[in-house]
Amino acid sequence: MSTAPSTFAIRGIELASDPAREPCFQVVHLHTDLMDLAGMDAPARRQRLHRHMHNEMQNLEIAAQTLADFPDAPWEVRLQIARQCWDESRHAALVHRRLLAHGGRKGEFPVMNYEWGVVCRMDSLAARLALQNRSFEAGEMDLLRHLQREWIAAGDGETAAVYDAILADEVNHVRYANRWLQRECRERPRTAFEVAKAVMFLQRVTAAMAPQPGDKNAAGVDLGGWTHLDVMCNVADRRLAEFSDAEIHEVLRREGLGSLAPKEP
Amino acid sequence: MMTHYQRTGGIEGVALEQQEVLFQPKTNKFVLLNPNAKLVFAALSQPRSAAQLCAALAAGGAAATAVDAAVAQLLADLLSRGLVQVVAAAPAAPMAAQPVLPWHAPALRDVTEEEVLAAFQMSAAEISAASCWWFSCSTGCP
Repeated sequence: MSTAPSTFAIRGIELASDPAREPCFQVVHLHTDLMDLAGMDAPARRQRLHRHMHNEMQNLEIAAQTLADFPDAPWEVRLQIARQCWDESRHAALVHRRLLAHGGRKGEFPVMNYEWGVVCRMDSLAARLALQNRSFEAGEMDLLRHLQREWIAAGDGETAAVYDAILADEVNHVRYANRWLQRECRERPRTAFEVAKAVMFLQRVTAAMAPQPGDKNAAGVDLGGWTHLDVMCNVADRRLAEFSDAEIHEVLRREGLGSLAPKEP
Repeated sequence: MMTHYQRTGGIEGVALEQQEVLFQPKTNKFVLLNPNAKLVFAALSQPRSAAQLCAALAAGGAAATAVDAAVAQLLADLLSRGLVQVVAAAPAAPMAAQPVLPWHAPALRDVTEEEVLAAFQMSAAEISAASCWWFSCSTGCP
């Protein structure tokens, strides 16, 4: 019997239905219903930690669901996914501890199962790893170095240290996915096509969910005022995660920084 | 009698900006179509003659001889890779109005699995366009 989640439609896109949540959580499906706060004042810090904790929860759930959905995957990759479950559960606990230290609590802010909804919609292991590991977690690697500096600047070295530990694990998650996908592509070229279709799905979801002009979230924050353009490719960690020079070049090109791309050997 | 061409069944495609990547499952090979080749391949969902395809591209402003030569080369390339086949002449539906693209010769290029993996990625900033998906990014956004 398939364990794959059922689906629901939002803004014309089919996403995987929400995983179970404790009653303390208010689950929403649009960014306009979140209460994400700009800046780094005390409520914004709690909100950031709360969202991060919830994302780690989702990553645990996605990896666990993938183990359940692809029981015939090679043992080596299943072992890596199982290790990722352990890592993500530890991350969730670490960030929860920081949330408590800041006077926050589980369920203080609405949550959205965005990554879960996107990744668990995919029906192949290659597509799941392409989105969870090569897209979302690789993007997280790009963010974490910046965020460490932000928390240090805000006087919270303990949270920054937690991010450092998390980043080390994320590099490993991205690396095992890259290794497995590269090997699969050599042995079964259609794998690359599954990756391509998955990334195009993420592009469609992103376009559909992007804020409309004038959209505000539940905290009254204007969602249209941010371009995210200074979230830049973390080349050093992408190299550690075994992205090829061509792959790093492409991400830099998409950021308008192609001239900084690694030179061909 | 005029030769007609049509896409081979089972060919899968995925858009890449204005281009398209095709996967030929029989050979396990990928090709990249440039924008005008993508337009031609889309028109080949039904039987078409080379003349019909040339007419669709002529609005781009190139000399007819250049269009004829480029379409002939593209069809040869598609045929040699099993992406299109020669079919019996059939009364094809009139071609829908095609977008007029600036002229460049329709062409394809063989691409490797590694090139496909590299091409299909999203940056953190692009993913964040749906609102910063992970947590506030370094812009200080929500």
